[in-house]
Amino acid sequence: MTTTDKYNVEAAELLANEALHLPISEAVPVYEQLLATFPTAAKYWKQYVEAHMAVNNDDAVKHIFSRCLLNCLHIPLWRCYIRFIRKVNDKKGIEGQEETRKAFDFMLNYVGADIASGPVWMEYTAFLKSLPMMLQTQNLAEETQRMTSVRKAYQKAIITPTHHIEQLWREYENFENSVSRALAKGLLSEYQPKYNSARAVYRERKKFADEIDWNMLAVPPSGTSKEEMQWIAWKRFLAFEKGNPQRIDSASANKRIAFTYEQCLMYLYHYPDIWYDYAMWHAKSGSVDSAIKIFQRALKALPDSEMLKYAYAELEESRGSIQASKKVYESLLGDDGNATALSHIQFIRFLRRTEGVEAARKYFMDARKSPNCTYHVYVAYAMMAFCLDKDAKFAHNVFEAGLKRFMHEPSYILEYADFLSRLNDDRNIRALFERALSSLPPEESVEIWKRFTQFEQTYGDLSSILKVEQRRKEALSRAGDEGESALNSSLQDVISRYSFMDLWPCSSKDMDHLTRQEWLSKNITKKIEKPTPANGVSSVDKRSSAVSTTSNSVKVVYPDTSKMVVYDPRQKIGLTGPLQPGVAVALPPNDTMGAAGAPNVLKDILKTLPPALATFVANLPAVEGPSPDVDFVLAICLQSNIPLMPVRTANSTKLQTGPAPSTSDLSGSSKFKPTRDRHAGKRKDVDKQDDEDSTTVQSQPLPRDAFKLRQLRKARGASSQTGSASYGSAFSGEMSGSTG
Amino acid sequence: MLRGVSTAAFLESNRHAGYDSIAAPRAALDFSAMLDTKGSSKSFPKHETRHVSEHKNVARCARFSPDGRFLATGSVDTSIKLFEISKIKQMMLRDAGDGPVRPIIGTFYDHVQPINDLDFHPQNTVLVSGAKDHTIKFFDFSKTAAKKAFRVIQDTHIVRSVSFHPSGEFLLAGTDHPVAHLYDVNTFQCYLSANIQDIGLNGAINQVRYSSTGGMYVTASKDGAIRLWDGISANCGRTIIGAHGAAEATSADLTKDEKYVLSCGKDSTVKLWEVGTGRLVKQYLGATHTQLRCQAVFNDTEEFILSIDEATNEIVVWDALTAEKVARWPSNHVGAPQWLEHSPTEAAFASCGADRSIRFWKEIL
Repeated sequence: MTTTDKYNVEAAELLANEALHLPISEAVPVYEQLLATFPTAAKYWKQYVEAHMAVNNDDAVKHIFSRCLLNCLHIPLWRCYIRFIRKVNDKKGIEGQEETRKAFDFMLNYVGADIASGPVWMEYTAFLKSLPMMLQTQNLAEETQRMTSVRKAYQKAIITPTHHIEQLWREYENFENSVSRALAKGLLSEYQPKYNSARAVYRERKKFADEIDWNMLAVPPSGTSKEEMQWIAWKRFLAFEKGNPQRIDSASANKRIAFTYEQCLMYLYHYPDIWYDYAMWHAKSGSVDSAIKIFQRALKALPDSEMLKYAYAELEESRGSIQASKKVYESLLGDDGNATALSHIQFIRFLRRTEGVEAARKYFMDARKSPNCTYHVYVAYAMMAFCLDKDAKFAHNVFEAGLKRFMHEPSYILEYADFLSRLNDDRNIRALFERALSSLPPEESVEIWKRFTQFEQTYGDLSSILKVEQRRKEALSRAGDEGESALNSSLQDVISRYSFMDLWPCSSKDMDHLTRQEWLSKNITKKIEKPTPANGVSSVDKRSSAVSTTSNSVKVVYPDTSKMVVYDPRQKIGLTGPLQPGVAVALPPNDTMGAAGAPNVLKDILKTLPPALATFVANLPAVEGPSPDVDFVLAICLQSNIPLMPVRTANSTKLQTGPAPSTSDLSGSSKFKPTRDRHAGKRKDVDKQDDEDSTTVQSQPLPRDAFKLRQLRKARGASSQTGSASYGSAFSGEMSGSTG
Repeated sequence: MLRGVSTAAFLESNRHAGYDSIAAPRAALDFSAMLDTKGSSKSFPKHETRHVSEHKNVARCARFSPDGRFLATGSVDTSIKLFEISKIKQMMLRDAGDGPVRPIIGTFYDHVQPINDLDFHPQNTVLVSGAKDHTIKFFDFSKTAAKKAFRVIQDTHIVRSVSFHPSGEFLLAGTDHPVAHLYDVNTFQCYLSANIQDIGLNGAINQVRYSSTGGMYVTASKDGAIRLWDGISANCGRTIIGAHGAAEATSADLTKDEKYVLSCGKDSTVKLWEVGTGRLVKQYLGATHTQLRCQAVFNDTEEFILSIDEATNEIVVWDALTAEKVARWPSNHVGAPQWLEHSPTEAAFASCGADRSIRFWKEIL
């Protein structure tokens, strides 16, 4: 069974459905199999335990609960637990009730912070209230105690942001009032603000919780967008809880955060990052022990995650528990056979840190014999000896010993050469290069040659530099298909010889030219298979850029507006001929704004206008052809009706004239640009309604509906001040050039 | 004009909430390789559908954002609704119970007459709408509070269709005017093709769509013609007169490779034309649409074509290559849907109609 099969969600759901119809004895192995794969699937645990409860198999039920409850902080499952406890303790009198109360406390301690825990709190308070009645004891002390416990439960419930917080608050009010009106007032007014803030937090919290799919099964990340969305949703939720939005004391806040993490891990059980974050959060908030426990659980969940093991070992080591840390490292090494080179290296380093040089040396000697010991281990150990122990001779010996084994590894040669150059041992470096080059095939020695020429540039004289470069070309031309052209010395070689760090003996433009020329010359001999890419990128580059997803990478064709005719309705008002010689812009005769439609509309509007304005509009010249939208012009006229304004601050007088003419620009061109800034800036101080009205006035044609018209006029009269203030900011927005 | 510089001026301020990098389109179908093969049809995966929201009057158009994350719908009630697809999916996911999810992230009321078409800016969080009130309005949907347009283009005609140039710097408007209006989004300057052949009286443009590179655009007009225009010069490169007989051509769009045009008309046909030759390549028959502005659309992989049968109130799906019908699903709308729009990035589409409702469809996974 492969991993993908194992975590097949659909198959699991089918299986779970089947199990529903099986007799309990046959269903048990099915459930066990399901839950082995999905150990945090609360819904399956619930189904499993309910199957047992149906046949009153109490011992099995208890056993299952003990296995799942603490890992599955899932309200329905826990409610199932409470039902069970209540059922079991139903007939046991006082003892039973005490048990039940304990179970409630236990439950609420674990899942009382859940957003869906409201009904549990209600059930709990109802249970507490019912207690003495069953006991038939009415003595005063017990009555007081009962009240206190109910009150305590309520007071906890109403500061927990749950779906039922409002209902709980009402219940609590009723409860206090039923106990003592006098006392209630003080208590309620004390708790009201706490409740209010919890309720506010609930509203926020709900948004985050709504993003989460509470039915998801925990499967290893496979990169689907749904998984990513869930991951993001959980991250957001966690960030929200970490912000302690309710400003509760840090202990309670931490409890809530831990609870959210635990819930998150039910669903993102296979996500090492969540485990790590959780553990590190614990460590950061001071409880390293908890962090250690989380790591231990994480390694149970993800036994193959090396990252988590290193993280765990690091934490153990940093708090001084060397033995625990060593155990983790040893688990990383596994059986001798399959220890990776990296785990050897990290273990050697760990030993060097914690147990000293000798232990590290001893382990290296063992590790050498391991079949998985690569050259990396030699390099790491030699460098450790050289850098930490300052033992150059010993390090040299290690490298030399390794060379016998790893002569064929170019990377090893390069590391060795690096080491030698630190010793300034140019004789040995040269010898090393020669040895390596004589044994390595040319296609693997490219890097070595490169380093050799660099080395000669630093250590050698001009003739040795040139000699090595020539040899390099000869060797490599045999290997690659670059042909004889590569053999000839080119200007590029000069550039590479005479550049230093980021200093170049030529401009980047020169480089571009050279590269392009080189590319061209390479293609001179080749048959032209396809058109040359315009910008000289190789076909590989071109392909990769086409794959990259931004729209910029796709070649976009732009319109050439110089080949077109400018179409400007304003110029056509007094239409005498085509806009440009020889070009007639065809206009359909069925233009709806033609002479036939306009007058009727105009008459309607004239009736609704103030007389002065009506005269003005009536006197407007007749328009032929494409005409401005009459509604639109009227809207502008209406809005710039200055004399109607009753109050005029200095500010508004100054600014009134600003925007009004600008909106009369019928093509709706750049004058509309600054509106964005205006929206952003004023929202705080200007009432929203006014804001929208003023926008209506500015950019919308006048509504034909008489009711709206009246509203508009009212708004203009009443809120002219805010209206003009908003123009003010619009204006300033324009001045600042909407740099945003 | 100074490109790049002027881009900075327009909409640059909205950048803060631009789209995530647009997902690589799924491999599009290569018709040229397989056009004449008569293979067996692929099967169109089953979809689930859900009523997502409702307008106060007939819902007329819908559009997905290029990254497939948003859906906008426009209505006769002059409002535009903006949905977040992930929230719609959540809503479908949790229909079982739990709290309600509101997939609407914005509603825009700024037009005074019915909305005819919508388009998203290719990079920024800007939505444009064309309406019967002769205006094109720009909405910034990164601001959830803003309900009004932040820029307005006043056109001379009823705006029936809008389409952004892939750079986002130009906007095409198809209006009652027989020539598409090209707007420079930075200056709002309007340009027209300098060479217009005689287009008859009934040339109002029902739909205009840019190709993926902006190299050309296609218009579908009331006179039944499909016209292809050069993206650079705006000259009409090819006219397919009577593409849908005397009936109106109601929709036209180009394939991603710019080689084919898919058109739909009131003659109850959906047709695929080759751009290079103007020849009719495929016909997709069997859906009646004679009344509404019927849309024929490709799915995200261009393997299938979706349209509407008005008579039976069904969504019809053809295999694009074999032209065989592969699915007929009841639309679940009351009365035939007015519009169909497929997501550019995944197996999901939206329908909306005279019953005022918006339905979202997605493949059952």
